[in-house]
Amino acid sequence: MSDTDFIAKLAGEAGQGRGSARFGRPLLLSTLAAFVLAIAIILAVFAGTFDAGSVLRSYSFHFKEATMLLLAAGAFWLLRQQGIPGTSHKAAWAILPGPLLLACLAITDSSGYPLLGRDSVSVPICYFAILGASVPALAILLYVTRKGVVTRPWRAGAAAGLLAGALGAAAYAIACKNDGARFVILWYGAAVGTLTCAGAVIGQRFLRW
Amino acid sequence: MSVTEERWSAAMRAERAGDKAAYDWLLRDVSRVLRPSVRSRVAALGLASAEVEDILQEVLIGLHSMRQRWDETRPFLPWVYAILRYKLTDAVRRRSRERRRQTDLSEDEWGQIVDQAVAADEALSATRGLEQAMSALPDGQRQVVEALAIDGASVRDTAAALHVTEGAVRMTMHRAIKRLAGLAGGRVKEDE
Repeated sequence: MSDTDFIAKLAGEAGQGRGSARFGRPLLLSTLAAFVLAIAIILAVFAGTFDAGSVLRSYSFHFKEATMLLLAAGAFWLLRQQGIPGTSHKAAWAILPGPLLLACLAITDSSGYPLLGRDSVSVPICYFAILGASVPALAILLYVTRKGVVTRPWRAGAAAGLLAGALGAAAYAIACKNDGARFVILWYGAAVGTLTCAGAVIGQRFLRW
Repeated sequence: MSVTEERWSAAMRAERAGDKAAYDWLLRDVSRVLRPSVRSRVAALGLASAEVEDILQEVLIGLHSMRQRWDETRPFLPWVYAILRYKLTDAVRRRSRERRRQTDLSEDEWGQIVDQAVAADEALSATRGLEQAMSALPDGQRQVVEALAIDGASVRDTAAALHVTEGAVRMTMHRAIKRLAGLAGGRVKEDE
């Protein structure tokens, strides 16, 4: 088909486009839904193993929650930018405050909590609980990201993985009994990093169009 | 705001109102602006210059399929250039990869493929005959084998006759030969 005929054919479909320019709002709603789902998974798995009242009043819960939600907010912003072509690439800086705050807390941590947790299963429980709570969130976020216009699929996938991991970690903080900042930065970081890599790999294929 | 920004975003708004002429102009203008860039990329990668128009069409399809997702409150140029860059890079990369795959076979390897074909043919003749084996092939593979191995047509002529690329013909022939060899092997075992 010649260039002229081809363009004429496309132009013949003027006014018949499908889809919506709105991406931020569905992404925000799905992020909230993903967080609620992650909390529900953690509550279902760890029901009866912790006292919610005392956890919610503890300093350790607040610092874990604050750093993970700060990371999630940055990842949300980064993912939103990835779905809108032509927006600033400086959004990557938005993910730094959470990890930086956590790093400061880890450096100044003098609590003496062991790096490998309170018992021998602390690390695998933490790692796999965060993965388990995050995988459905990742699926939701990747699906919604397809409604945007992704021009860098692996970056968008990595941002979705980072957001899902941060949400899963924030949800798991409710049931986590290991309160050392160094434990959190290492093992929460490992789980969130795994999700980020998985998101990048999946996004590279799933978000192409 | 640049003149191009004003004109292109106005044309996009008109497209949403069903203005075919404005959209036709937009696509032509995008194509005109992008052509030199595509041409230089294609030349840099050593691809055939005939690929330029095909890649441009792929880029325009990308823009066309996502046009409804442009937010009218945002500038159009950065949006469209990000899409164009993505689709252009994707199309060029894919073609470059396809070309590598096509030229990766050395003469010896092609010779081996031909030998395999001969071996497969002999094995089939010795058992139930070529026609029976051919009937086990999917339509596309059978047409290619008939054209190349039976009618003696060239790869180029076969590609033209079947409306596919030469690379696709070679790949189909390769798969057909593997399949025939597999069938022949199975039959030989049965006979034994």
